[in-house]
Amino acid sequence: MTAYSWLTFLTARQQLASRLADTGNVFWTDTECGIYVCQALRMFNVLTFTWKQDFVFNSSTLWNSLATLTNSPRIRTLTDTYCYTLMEYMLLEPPTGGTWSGTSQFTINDFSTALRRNAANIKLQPDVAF
Amino acid sequence: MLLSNVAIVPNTRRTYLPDTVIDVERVRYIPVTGNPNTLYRDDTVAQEFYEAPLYQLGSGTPETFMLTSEPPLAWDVDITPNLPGTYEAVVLKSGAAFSPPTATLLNIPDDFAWVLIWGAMADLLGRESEATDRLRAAYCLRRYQDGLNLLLKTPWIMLAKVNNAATDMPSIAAMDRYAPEWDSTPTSFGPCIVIGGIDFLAAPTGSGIGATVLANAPVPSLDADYVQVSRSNWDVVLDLAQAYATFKMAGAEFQSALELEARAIQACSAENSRLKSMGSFSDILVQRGQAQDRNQERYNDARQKSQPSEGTK
Repeated sequence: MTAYSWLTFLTARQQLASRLADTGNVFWTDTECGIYVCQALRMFNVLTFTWKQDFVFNSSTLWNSLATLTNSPRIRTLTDTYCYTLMEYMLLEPPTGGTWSGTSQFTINDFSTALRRNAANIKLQPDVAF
Repeated sequence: MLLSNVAIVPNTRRTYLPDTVIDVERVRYIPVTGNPNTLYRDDTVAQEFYEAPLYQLGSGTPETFMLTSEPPLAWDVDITPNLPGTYEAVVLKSGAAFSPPTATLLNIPDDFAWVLIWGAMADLLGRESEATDRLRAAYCLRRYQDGLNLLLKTPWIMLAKVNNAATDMPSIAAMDRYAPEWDSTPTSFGPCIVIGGIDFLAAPTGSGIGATVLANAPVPSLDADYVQVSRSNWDVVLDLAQAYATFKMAGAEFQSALELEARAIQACSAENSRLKSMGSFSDILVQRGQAQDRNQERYNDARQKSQPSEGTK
């Protein structure tokens, strides 16, 4: 799905770094800026319902999940490691994903327990038959 | 998701579920011989009122089920099954446990991963520890709750086609009421697409299915990839990204960045209104994915009061 071709990812990250007065990527690394841009794009989509898309598939089974069907535009790809990395950035800890190398304020078990508890809470909401 | 092949023990009223199941939406009785029967959902009071003498009923074909309110999660049927067979249930499952450093799929729509992150951050910053930061914990909790509300309103599916013909999108509850045993003819029911919860649907097998859905936001990964955003909306996205980035600064800097976030959310709301105004029935379009919740409101109402019910729209 390509609708716009005027702003590259590289430029977008640089513009964010510039907004943060950190064009040298001293306080916010280039990778980190990329993650924030992607998160902002996702947030923008759920707030505006922008990316409506037609999806065609052959139903070979009665029950289907758009989260797993091949080529589904709603396929789920993000893992807990992605969340750990983002949370590590936001808490000024080394962004090492699922392996902890940060301060003694947290452990990776704290992160995974907090994620698991909230994932279960989200799924208890009505209409969320994940 | 579908939980198949739950073994039936003949003449047993109660069926226990694994602890990975957190809720049950629907149960179907499938005996080894004879016709399946979708069980109407009930509770003890209703069963005692309308199926007296409930506890003296002989075994036969179950007609209703009720969820137990005490742990572990289980359901009881009104009439104990007299034949072996299986139950098939539509359930909510807790998903795989996270075990870092092995990466595990979140099993939450990609665009809503941030809800989970804010919830977890609220926990981490809100507990009594060296890392306690009440101000940011409160902010994270607010974002988490906002995210939940947003998730419940997400128009994950808007239109449907079966073999290129436009079709209705009733909920499972509506189909069970008005077309009982519809799933006994999986190739020919409807034609329609039956809505479960987010991303979960039933469609006639062997047919070409079309669905207009809210896709995941396209996100770039390579330097040369184009960011999929219009020129008019880039500033809004940049505001959101900047607000995320300043979170780690905490204190006054973070507080002042919240103005940016508020501005961005307001702009998103305006963009949403603009897109909605492009269709006469946009209000209906964006609610169709929540049909199962509306039609099961007797059971969902206690869990969530903020959703409008069908009768109050």
